[in-house]
Amino acid sequence: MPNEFRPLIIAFCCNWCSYAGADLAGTSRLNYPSNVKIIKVPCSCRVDPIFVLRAFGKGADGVIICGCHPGDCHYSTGNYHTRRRFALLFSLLEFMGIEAGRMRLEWISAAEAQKFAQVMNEFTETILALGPNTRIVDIRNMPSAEGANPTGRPFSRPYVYPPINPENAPKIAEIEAQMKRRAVELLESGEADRIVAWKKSDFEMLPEPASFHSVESVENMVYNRFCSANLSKYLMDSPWLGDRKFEGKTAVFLKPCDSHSFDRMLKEHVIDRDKKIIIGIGCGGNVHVDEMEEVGLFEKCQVCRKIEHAVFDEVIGGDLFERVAQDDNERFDWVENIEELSSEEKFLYWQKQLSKCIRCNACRNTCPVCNCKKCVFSSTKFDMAAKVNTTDFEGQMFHAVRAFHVAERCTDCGECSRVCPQGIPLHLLNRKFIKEIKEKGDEIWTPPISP
Amino acid sequence: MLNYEYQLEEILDISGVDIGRCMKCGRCSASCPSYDEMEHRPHQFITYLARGDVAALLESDALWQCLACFSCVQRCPRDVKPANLIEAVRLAAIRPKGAEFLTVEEVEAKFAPDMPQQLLVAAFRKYMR
Amino acid sequence: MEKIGVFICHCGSNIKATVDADAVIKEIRGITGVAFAAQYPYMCAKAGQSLIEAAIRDNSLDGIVVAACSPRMHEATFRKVAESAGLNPYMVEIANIREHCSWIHRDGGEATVKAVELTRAAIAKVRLNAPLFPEENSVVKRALVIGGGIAGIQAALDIAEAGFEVDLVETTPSIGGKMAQLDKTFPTLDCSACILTPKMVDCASHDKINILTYSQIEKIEGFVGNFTATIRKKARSVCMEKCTGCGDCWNKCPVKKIPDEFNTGLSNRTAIYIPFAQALPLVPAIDREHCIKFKTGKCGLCQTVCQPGAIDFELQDEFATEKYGAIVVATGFEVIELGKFGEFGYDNPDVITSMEFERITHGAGPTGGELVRLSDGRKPKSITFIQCVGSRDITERGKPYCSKICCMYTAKHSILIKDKYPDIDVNIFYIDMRTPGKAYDEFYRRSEEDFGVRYIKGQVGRVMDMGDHLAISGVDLLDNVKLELKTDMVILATAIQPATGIKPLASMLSASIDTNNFMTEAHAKLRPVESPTAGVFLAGAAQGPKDIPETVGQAGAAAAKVIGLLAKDILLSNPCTATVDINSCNGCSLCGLVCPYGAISYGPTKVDEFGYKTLERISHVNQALCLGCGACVVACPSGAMNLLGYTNLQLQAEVDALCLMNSDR
Repeated sequence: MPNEFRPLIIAFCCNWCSYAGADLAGTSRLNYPSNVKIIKVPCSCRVDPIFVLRAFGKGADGVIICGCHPGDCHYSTGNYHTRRRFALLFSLLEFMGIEAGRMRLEWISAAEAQKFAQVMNEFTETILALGPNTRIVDIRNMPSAEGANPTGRPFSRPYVYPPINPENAPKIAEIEAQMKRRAVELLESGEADRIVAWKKSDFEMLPEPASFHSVESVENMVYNRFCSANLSKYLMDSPWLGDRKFEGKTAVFLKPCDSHSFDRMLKEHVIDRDKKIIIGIGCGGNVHVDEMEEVGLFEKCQVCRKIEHAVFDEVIGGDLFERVAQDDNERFDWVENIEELSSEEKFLYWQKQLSKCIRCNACRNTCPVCNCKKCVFSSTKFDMAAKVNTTDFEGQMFHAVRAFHVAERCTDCGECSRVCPQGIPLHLLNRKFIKEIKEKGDEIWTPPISP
Repeated sequence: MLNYEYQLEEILDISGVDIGRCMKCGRCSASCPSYDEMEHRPHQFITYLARGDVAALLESDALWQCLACFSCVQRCPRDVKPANLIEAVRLAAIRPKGAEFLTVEEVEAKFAPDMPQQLLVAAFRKYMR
Repeated sequence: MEKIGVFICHCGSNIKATVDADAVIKEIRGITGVAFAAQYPYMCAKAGQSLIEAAIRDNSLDGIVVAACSPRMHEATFRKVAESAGLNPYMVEIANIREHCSWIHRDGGEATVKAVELTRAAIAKVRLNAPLFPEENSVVKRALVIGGGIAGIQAALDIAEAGFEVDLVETTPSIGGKMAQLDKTFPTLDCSACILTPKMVDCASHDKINILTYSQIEKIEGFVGNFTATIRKKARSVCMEKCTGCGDCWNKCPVKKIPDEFNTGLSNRTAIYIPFAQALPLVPAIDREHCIKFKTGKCGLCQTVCQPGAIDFELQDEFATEKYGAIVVATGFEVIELGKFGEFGYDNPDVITSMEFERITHGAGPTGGELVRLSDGRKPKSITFIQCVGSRDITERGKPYCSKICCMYTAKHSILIKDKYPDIDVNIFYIDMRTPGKAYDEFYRRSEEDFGVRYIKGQVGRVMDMGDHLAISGVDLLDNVKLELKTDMVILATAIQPATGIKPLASMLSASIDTNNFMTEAHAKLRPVESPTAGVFLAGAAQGPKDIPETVGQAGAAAAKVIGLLAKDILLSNPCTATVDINSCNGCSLCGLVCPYGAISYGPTKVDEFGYKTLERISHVNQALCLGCGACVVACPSGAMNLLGYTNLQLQAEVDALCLMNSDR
């Protein structure tokens, strides 16, 4: 038996309220355990979720963020940002099986020394009851993917891929023919200098995104149930991810859900709209391919909300498929399925999933809102640059950070999961956020402030 | 000799009252309709308990004069809840007796004839098994 | 390889009693980068400062860590020391081993371990510090005083006397505030108006003071030295320049049944009115809510009788925008509502608050100074005061604090009554008599010893209306008896609270308020007239309950602080602001959306990425507007934004250092 467990608690305190409250606790000679260590930040909104993950990764047993009471922020709105950021982060970590009690957000004013001491005492009690932070440490140590499931219950429902509606095939073929005609027109008239679409490859089920510069090349264009790749990301004006050097005008075919990604990218100023012609195309759902086998309708297509195109200049075959906007019907079923698991089961589920990750960065590269020129994981401004699969914590927390960075921006296009060679259901992390935002609503979103 | 320390703790525990908050303003006694009947006044329940003199309260009839009208609780500016405290002292008095505290025979001796009927009914409900 | 100096302060025995400084020194000597370590009983003392200065010079240190009290206490001191030794002041970090360690933990071993850890974290941070250089901002030589009571008047006068322009903003049509409503003042019993009016006149006639009555603050932006305030001048409907204050209009106004706020609703006023006879400026305002002309379009009698033709119904609210270097908040207090205190029967006209009693005894009040019962106009034979109504009350009915002024004004009231009508019986129910202050206790004793006022240690349970008199059921705790008193008037010493509107004002100023809505001071003892927001100062009851001498004293102190600020030509800005790495910035706009100060803009910027030169949409931080909260830094997904002084690397280094004890897990 090792020494008595002494929890290590990191407290981020804002300079104006909570740090002063902690000072007053000292001046008032109040008691709280010595294992609470305070880090001063100018405002609770300075606390990056990465710091919290970092602390956990380095062996902290609990992390608490203290700020001014809502409405009292020295910087007017800082703590509102804190509130929503950590509501999301905590929900994500809880979803991933980290005990909810390890993370806490408290409002402590400069006058509330008593509250400061009380909160620290309570929090220490909670952490003592939870025991050492072994889960994140376990993620760090990455046990084998075949780790036994002590609960004996299935982690989530067995996933069923229903077959695609065969009536769709002729409609899709009709759209393909129109797309080719329109592409030729655009290239011949010089309206567009290139077309971004899908190209036949050696395998029918793996059409590749490609750009077509000549009328002849359009021959190889294809549109079928396998064309699930979201083409928005290929339009990004970035020297690293898109085709920065292309000065001409680009026409692109976007399915309804792809156009929402495109819209989000426009809002983030990463696409020059004037140089793009958006041709919306009808979609009858795409199929999931596993081990070169057609399995059935994609999960994201099963729960399709039948949304209309968000941005378009023209639409081909838009009326071929019924597009009556639907609510979230079964969209959150999978998320709820995991939510119902116990904390430990959630952890085992995600541990099994995330330990498969080989850090190929496909999810990052395909994600339309992961559009940073330079990813934070390649930045020297954070001590977390890691480009290969590592066994250390940052390596595994990559997905949590990535999910957080695209939170509130994610358009639920599902590309991250589709491109993952290891079949990790990554899109669930962001769908959890979408659900959380929908459910928490006013509670964390009032007063309304921009993301 | 009874261990009053234990009883004091129990009284404070049952009532959930923090007697340290009392600032001795006397608004409880000023509001009390039974003030004149009580040997120890509502505010004294707090001072007695503060110095640990549970015995005096347990022995006094004042304990049973409280009508539980809760005026003192409503008006106390420090949220001390004297009536809750008195009720807790009552419980401390009857619990050691184990069985019925009040018998029909005792009623005449204990209660004045002009006391409200309601009080008698309440007392029976509380102190009889 | 950087050379870090570490200095452990004993703070006398404050730190040394629990933290073993020798052990700390021994531990930290082994930390990478530590080139020098020393301890001293008082680092903040002259000798301690010299020690640091010499160590920096002798060892050519690149950064220092002072393990001492809270950085809120002496960070500035040690930064100055570093500067005088030729080290950039931002190469200093403080490890708070007093407030966060030695004062919290009783166990010496535990405290010593924690002191080492806190110092190690500070060392980890300082190793990543970079020299920072503040920007210079000019100071607008003009002050804004919010609130035209005695606090605001005094502050405005003092600032103006030093030669700076002052705008004094007041919401009601006249300056004067609560003091104008008072009859006499304690402990000298001189008449309130006699000492206040000359100050009001001084204010009005001062060429540096610009009084804006009937005006409200709409918006405040900016920062110390450079605030911009938008002030709404409510439409007075009377032209200030033309009006002579003759009084024809308010004498003729047919609407006469509006409760008079100045007389606490005990009398009525007209729709066009001045609050009181000595009002300054002596220009009436039309209460548009009650004026017939504004309600129905008919009437206009005041316009007909006004000889100078000053009445103008067409006047609209005007907005003035002005720049200020400093702001004084002097918004004062008001008495609380008594709706929740049913037992005192405040709905009875003979049960009144002390403020209402002030008006009744006032010569210009609703009864012309006659002490009579408001119910039947009879002279009372007996008056009972009840203290602490709503004060020191932790329930939702009242306020947890002591209102501070009630004991003294009740003593004053009792003396005034007894002096004029010795036959009136005066009883005062009190909990504690609190009379600290020069000549205060003597004053209170006089009321009992010389005037025969009866002080009863106890409280009142109920006040009942018995038709021609009031019946009081109270208790005398010293005699331990119940008192059933007959009385003719009951005066409630009602708790005071900050004036309404202080909350939105505080958020406009981004200054903080406490749980009772009083403005928070920067330091309870050492900076009592400053708000935590630089350039915002506090005067009077807005900061906490206060009597007149204290208010005047605080207003003068606030004015001195303002003068000290305005006397400077330039202010050095906080260099801990956000900064952009243009090579990582995406121009995605997420940072701009979260900035509370609008300090972030976007524009094409030349970027050279490994020789690939382009024009990119890059965010740009305005250093003068940025206050360094860090919201944008966290919003930035690519880590392009960073906060100087609190960089991502620095904070992570602190996290790592503090987690070192569990690194073997």
